Amino acid sequence: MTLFFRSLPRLWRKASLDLKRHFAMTFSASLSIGIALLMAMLLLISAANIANFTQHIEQELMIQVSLQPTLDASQQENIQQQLVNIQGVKNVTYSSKEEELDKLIQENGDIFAQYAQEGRNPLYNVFLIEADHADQIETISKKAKTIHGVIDVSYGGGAIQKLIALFKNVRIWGTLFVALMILLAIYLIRNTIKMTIHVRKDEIAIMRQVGAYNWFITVPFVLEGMIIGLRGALIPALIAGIGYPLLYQTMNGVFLSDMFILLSPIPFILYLVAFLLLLGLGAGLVGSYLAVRKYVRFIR
Amino acid sequence: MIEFKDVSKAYPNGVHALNHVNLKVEDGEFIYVIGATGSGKSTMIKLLNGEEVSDSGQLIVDGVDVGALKHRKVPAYRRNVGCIFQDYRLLPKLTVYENIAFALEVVGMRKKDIKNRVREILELVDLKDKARSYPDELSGGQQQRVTIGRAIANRPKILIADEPTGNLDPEKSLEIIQLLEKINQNFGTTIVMVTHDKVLVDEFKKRTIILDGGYVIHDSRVGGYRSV
Repeated sequence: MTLFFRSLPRLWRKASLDLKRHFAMTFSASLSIGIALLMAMLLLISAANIANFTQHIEQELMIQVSLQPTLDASQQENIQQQLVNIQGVKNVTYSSKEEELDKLIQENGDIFAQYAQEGRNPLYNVFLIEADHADQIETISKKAKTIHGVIDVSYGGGAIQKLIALFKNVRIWGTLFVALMILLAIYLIRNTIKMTIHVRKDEIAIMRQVGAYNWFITVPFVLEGMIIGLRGALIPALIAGIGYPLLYQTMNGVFLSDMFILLSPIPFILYLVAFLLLLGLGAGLVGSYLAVRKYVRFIR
Repeated sequence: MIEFKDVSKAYPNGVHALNHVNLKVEDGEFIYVIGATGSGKSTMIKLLNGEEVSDSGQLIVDGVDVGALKHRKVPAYRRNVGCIFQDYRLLPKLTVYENIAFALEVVGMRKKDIKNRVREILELVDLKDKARSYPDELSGGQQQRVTIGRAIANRPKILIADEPTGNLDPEKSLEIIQLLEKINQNFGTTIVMVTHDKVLVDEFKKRTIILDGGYVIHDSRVGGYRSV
């Protein structure tokens, strides 16, 4: 172990020298890894934002259960109990027709104030239901409708449901694609290191001949791979670090409409940049290790 | 001490390279191994070097069962066994100094100690003025002396030489054999030298082992071809 740390500067020098010697090869490797990670980066940004959209929309989704105006207090309580018992219901709150009207006036302006007088309010007393998950809204609504004393049940409607389902799919496929890009980056690094090593398999044999341990041979190659990976990750990291805040600013923090609120660049982009750099390092480490392992075994 | 105990080795293509070889080499001995091409000389070297593993029998070097070594343990064993090849096997992008220093870096020696040791070795192999040259700037004899320098850098107990004079003219061969003798006498290093060179074997008489078809057919303490 002490030998390892004592040799580390030596191994480091060796790695950087090799990088210089094989500049064309390492540069092209960095570039291809950079492109793979660039795609991963774009997808990660979209996936994170879509997750954010869905979360926002889900939070605002509520089921409105309108009650018959003739119900008395105990009947209302009975209905509330039934609603709470439906599977997937997070909570149920009561809102009287006066409160509903106030909300309407607040949101849509004073035109509705004309209904504020006694006996003119056309609205119903309602229960507002929050669901655990957006995809349960439909089933909850259907069940709520069958309860006696309920006039109407409404929620955002089918369009929003479809949107959420779509987002969910995009998220799943996006994650898969990101994973694929990471594998691709590892594969690219493995291939490049393999090429640089292939040229030097005699050198490795000589190293073993004079008594170099396997790790002594492997470490410079792995360091080399990590540097290649890091350099590659620098490209998408820079693009993301500069581009996303710019995009955020020009779009005023929303995508098309208020419904889609973009993630604010800090701390999101810091995490993303750190993640990309780590990803480059990791891919470099794994890829070069995979490549060199075989050639160390080339000779006993 | 090197001890072959009933060692046999065949290659996947069916060639029986070594057959029931029994051989003992004491510490500090200098022996020749001679024989026609395909007689098993190279296989013997590869077994000693740990590059190949025998099919049956045991090869004990300094108390180590070489065939039983794990892949990752082989390098540590090799630090005790210097190896010299016909084709030198120097790292072309390193200078003479760096090539010898490399064998010492690998074992984690300090830079200062490496400097001293390499200077010592360069003096021994008479290449002090070539320290900064690259292998392709040297003659064959000089390159071979670098290889010898690298092989003895870690003060191995055993030195294996695979036709060290195979690519050299008689005059340079003489230099090499004299250098090996010097190492053998000054440091007590056991030397196993595989060779084709009849002149050398007759001139510098040592214990001579003759291989033929993978069998040891002669083990002469007197030495020289004529003793056969």
